Amino acid sequence: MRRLRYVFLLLVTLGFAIGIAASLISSQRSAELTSSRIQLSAWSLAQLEHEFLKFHASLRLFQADKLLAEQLQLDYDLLWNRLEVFLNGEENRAIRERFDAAALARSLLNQLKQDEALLFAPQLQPSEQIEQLIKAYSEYQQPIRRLIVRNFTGPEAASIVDEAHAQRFLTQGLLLGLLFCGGALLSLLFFESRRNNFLARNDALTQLPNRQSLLALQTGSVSPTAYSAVAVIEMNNFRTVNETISHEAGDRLLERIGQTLNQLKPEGSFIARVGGDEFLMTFSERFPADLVIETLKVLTKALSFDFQSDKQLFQVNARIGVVFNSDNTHSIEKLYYCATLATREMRLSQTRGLKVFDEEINNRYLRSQQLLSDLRRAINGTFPGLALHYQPILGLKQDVMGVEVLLRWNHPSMGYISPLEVVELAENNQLGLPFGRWLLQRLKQDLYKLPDEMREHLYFSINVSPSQFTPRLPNSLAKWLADAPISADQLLLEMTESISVANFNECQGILQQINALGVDIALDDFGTGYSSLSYLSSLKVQRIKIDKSFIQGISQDLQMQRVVRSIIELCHGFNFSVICEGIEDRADDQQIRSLGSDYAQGYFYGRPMALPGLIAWYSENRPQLLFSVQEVHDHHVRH
Amino acid sequence: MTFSARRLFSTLVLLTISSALWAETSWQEQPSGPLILTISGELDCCPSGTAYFDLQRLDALPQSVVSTMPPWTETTDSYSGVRLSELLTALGAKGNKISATALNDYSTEFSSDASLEYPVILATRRNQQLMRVRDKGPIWIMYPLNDYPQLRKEEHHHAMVWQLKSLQISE
Repeated sequence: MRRLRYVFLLLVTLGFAIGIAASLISSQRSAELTSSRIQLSAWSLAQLEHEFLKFHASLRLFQADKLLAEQLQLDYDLLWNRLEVFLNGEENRAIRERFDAAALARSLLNQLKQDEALLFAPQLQPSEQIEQLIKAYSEYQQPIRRLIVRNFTGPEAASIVDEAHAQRFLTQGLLLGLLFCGGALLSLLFFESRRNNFLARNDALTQLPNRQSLLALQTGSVSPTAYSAVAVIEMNNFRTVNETISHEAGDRLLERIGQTLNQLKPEGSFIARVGGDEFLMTFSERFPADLVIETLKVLTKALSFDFQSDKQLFQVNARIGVVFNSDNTHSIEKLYYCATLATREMRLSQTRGLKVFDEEINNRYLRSQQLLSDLRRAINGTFPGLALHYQPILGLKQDVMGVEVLLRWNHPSMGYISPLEVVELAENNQLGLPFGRWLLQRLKQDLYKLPDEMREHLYFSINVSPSQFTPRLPNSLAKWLADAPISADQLLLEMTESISVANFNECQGILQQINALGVDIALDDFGTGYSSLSYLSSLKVQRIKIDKSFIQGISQDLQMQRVVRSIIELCHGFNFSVICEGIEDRADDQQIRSLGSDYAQGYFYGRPMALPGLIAWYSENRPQLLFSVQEVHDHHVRH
Repeated sequence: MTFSARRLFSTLVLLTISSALWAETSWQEQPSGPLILTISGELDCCPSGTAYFDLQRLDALPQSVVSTMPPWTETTDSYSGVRLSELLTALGAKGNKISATALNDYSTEFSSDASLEYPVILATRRNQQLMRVRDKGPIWIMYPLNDYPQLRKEEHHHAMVWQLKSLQISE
């Protein structure tokens, strides 16, 4: 196709050249025609002299009695006619207008007309009068001769010839200029098209081939080569730079990455920018596996750097997934796919560095794809196994008891799926909101199944994932509460710190609206994130749930006891009540009670249970648990 | 006997063929008036190869009128005379190459093609007046330049011989 285009371009150029050559020839010819036109008028001038000389000779011959009167009269008429033609003919206009030729011809014609009566007299004989005429006409001989000489060789004639030449050179110059312009235009077109072709296949910023080139490799339009390995390099933090600083900064970062890749590119390798922050690198079949790994390790180091822009510092680093083409049978497409799976896994686990693809990765990916598809159906109610379990939360200082609503998925073929995995799957695949709606719906159904006494006494704590935490959340909660069999103060939302850190101001607004409904909010997994004291003090939450990593083995760990005590005191100082989770034995229970925790949750009190289990547990343990409450408050205190 | 047979044959020819053919015997002979045109070539009418015309003989042929302004005059005038193609047919001339010679021995050659296609005449009169030598007479080959502008070419201008004296027809 490209060759065809060049052939066409060549043909156009040839046509152009031929056209110009033809124009040159035609211009030459037109110049010649013009000059023949000049010849034509010159001819007429010569004829004039000829007829004049003939008439003049006839006069003398007649005078010498050597010529008949009729012949003299014929020559007289011929000269007359010649003068008329000279004075009126279109072809003589140019010559007539030069050198006073017209005046000369007119004067000669007048002379002829004067002599008509004499020459056409009957019985014309040689006479003194004829002699006079011979003399009179002799006067014209010199001027006519001079006219001809001047017309052919005089300075005016020369200037006309020179002008004609100059005109010709001008025309030729113009045409050559045209040829040059045309040539320049064509070469411009050629280079532009080559540049466009380059840009279509290469990334302008990194000067690396782009996805288009990869597709060309895949479809085999580029001669196929064998690869020993294919790596996919994914940059971490590039999007952050692009979004938080500017696209210009992102471009600068990309340029730097491109330079690094180009510098470290092994011989025979192909590197392409295949996505916003994704690059592909192939290794030729001569490259042994250990060298591939070494090269990629060097690359990982080279691609980990601090990028400063606008007084902000970003730690840029790369995730590299690599796959070996061990039996040399896989297509580049397949290899690329496998390498992206390795990087994908690193991205999901938020790690960086190098990962070699193996079948396990593929299996995990296929499993997650299968789970995702099943989860979609489960949320729509067309796939079994998804259910809610409930784990008790005890009030240690007041007669109040709650349950944390937890997810259980008993997959028919894969067994129990961890709630964390389910939530992560939903969050990563835009299923967060439908999943949240499903949970509330199912909770409502379960609530109706509870005995009245139990439903009225318990409060229910549900987890909110980041994608559910939108400005529409308060509204959907209000709608849910409108026909739910519990009141707003029986609902508690648990959210992680990461939600509120991401966008503090917007988050505050949403939290206020939720509080306004009468719903309390608990900050989950406290102590594992980045919460600062100022952040904590201004956040509109009512409870803090200390992460179980602080609680496990607390009865044996004095240091941890001091930490937890400090946290609890701090929280009470801010007017938050505190939940400790992960209580596994009586020692833990005693310890957190002595540290001042307000609520407790853990296997020691009860595991997460399905609804019938919860009902049984409640009726069995309620009196005993009540007994264990040390301080009894008259009413539920809201903060 | 031979003579009367020839007369009889001539009479039959006269009766059966055109009146122009009747004239052929006389075209070979010198005309009674001043000779103004000599036509030579392979002519059916004239085995001797030459036909002679005075004004009377030309006038006896069908006359055509062409109104035009040739490049050597400044007015459009009405020219009349015998149409060249008709004259050549009447002569039974063979060949399409015409060589025309003027009184001053100017001579040019042209093809008869244009004269077959367009009404080209041997003009003897301008505005019903005979043309004198000084007015490009007695005969001027006239092309209908006004009616057929495509004829305004140097090629045909060359063929518009004035003061025509003789025509030579050849293959």
